[in-house]
Amino acid sequence: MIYPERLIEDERYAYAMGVIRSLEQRLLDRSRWERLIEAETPDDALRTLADSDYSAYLPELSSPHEYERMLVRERERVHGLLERLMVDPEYLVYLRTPFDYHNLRIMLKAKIKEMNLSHLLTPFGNIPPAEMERIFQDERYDKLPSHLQVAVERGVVAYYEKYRMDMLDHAVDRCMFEYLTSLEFPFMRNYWRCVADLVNIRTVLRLDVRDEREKMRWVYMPGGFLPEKEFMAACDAGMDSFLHFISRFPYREVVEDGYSYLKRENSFLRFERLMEEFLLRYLSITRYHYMGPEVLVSYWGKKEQEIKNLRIVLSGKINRVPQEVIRERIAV
Amino acid sequence: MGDGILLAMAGAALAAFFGGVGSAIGVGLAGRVATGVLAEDPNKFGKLFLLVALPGTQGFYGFLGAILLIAKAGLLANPKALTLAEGFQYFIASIPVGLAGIVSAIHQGKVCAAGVEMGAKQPEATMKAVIYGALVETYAILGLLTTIFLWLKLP
Amino acid sequence: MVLPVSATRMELLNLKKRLALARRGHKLLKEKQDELMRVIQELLKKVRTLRREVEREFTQAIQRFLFARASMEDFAVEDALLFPACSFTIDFRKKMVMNVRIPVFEKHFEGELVTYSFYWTSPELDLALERLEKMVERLVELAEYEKALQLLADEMEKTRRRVNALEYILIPNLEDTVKYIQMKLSEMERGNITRLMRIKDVIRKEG
Repeated sequence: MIYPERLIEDERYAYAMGVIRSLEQRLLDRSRWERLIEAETPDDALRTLADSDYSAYLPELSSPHEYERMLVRERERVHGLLERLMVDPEYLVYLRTPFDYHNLRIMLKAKIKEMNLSHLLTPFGNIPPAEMERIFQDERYDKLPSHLQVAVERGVVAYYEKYRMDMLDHAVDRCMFEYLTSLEFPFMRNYWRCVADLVNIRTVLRLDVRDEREKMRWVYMPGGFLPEKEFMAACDAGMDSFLHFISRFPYREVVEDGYSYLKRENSFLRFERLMEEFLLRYLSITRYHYMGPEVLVSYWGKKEQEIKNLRIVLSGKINRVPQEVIRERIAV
Repeated sequence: MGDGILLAMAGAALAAFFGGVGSAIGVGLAGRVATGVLAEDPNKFGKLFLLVALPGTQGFYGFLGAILLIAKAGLLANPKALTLAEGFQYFIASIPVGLAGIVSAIHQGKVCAAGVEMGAKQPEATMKAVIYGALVETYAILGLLTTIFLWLKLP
Repeated sequence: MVLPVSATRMELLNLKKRLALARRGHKLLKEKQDELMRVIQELLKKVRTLRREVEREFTQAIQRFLFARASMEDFAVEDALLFPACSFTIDFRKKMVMNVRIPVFEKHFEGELVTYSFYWTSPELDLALERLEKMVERLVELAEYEKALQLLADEMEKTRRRVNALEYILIPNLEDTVKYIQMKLSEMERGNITRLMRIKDVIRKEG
């Protein structure tokens, strides 16, 4: 496990601690997930959510197919809560930044293809979608924060180099990781560095499935803990040497188990679960932290995972995915 | 009336002041965490009350010390004529309860705040957190005792 | 049924020729019918298993796709699939089987399947798309076989009708007619002989 350099101890967060520690109690636990997974029908699954954070939204759903609405509402609630509790607003900005990068990507694509893609914008970023659209319409990119300006520039250049949209995606993602892995907030910075490493490893496996490992140099995300040169060298040298390289790092279990499952079942379910569980374990460091913004960030991360898990379970129930497949995917 | 009475009054004031400030900070911290918990779960009030109140005792100790000094100096009726050295004795006698009070109250506040956080997760373990808080209390009591022993021999 | 022809020797010869032709045609058509039957049965077996497989695999692929998209943000899924770099074209040419034109599809996939951000998407999406790609190929294959089957069945029906027409109508009719003409002719001959004998008798009496 890679530990953050230092957790911030900040007593201005006293009230927030009380709220968050209570709310952490209400996060869905393993037995609740088990009941959700074992539910016969989507309706039964929803019923097991009574007396949880989601119970308030249940009466509004006319059918389980509308679960996405419930998840959006819950996410809005968590964002609103953190907005009220976070004493240092810049940490909130950090939390929302990934969504800004997503919106930026969408707007760039819309601009290049002269299409209207506003339905793909997410309201969870720092810059509201309407504002984002205005900026792109007037081409007033100077109104964007400087790190997003860089992303605009690199994204456009990357697209016109080969006239390929995915190059734009990768370029903007790279800018995002560069920014997030250099945040002035060790806990989140290190979180994103772990994410960068895991995403890179995952990408190598994804490319390996289709025998396209040489593409890795286009899609490498910077900022992780793993040394880039060695990583690329190990990747170029073949899967065996890559696995050997990773085995020196704490990601070993994720990769070894995830990779053997991938080979056996031709599926990334376990890798994804282990990866998410790794990140959850990282976030759980704050369980032993007395007071500070990290606890809020950790709650946010756990809530995001919970929402993702719920989407997986409910969609799995609706599409009659076998229980053991769903169970394999739920990270707790 | 000598100059000593000034120092005696300053001592009494400091004992009450330090104890009070420490307790205010301590209760404030634990109280903020507790209100956070109660905002989500009002039923925990009874369980958390002791933890929040615990850092408040130092204020009383300071106040008690101050009253003792004030009474001994006769400030309630006719003030004694104290020399500078005698006044200084009063002042020194006030230090243990004051300083032990402020430091222990702040730290007890932290312990209790952490205890409240734990109580939010495991309500049944709240009493254990109270015991940890009470351990800090010991040093405030020792400070008070020292002040009282010193007070016995005051002129 | 006797065909409405005049019972002459000339006609008889004609009819006999036609009967022989019809018999030969019937034999050939019968052979063709059998062969068609064999081809169709073979194809039917293939289509049946393929169809079952395709249906099963298709539900699996769709299920996998839906499950994969569940681990992504809604907006991220749509964004990922917005600008595909992969195109699929179908060419078709014709093949002759038993004198039936059967279409043959040629499938071409061009470009890369996975062209989206690797951070925002789940690797399960890659696998699901790959599977759907294979499914499309299988679907086209299935369509090819099913169309062939349909065309061959039409041909089979046509052949069967022809065979039946020959077997139950034309050939019996011709046979009846030939028999009728033969009878008519032999009767005429007998009449002729009687007449001649009668004439001989008359001549002998008078002579």
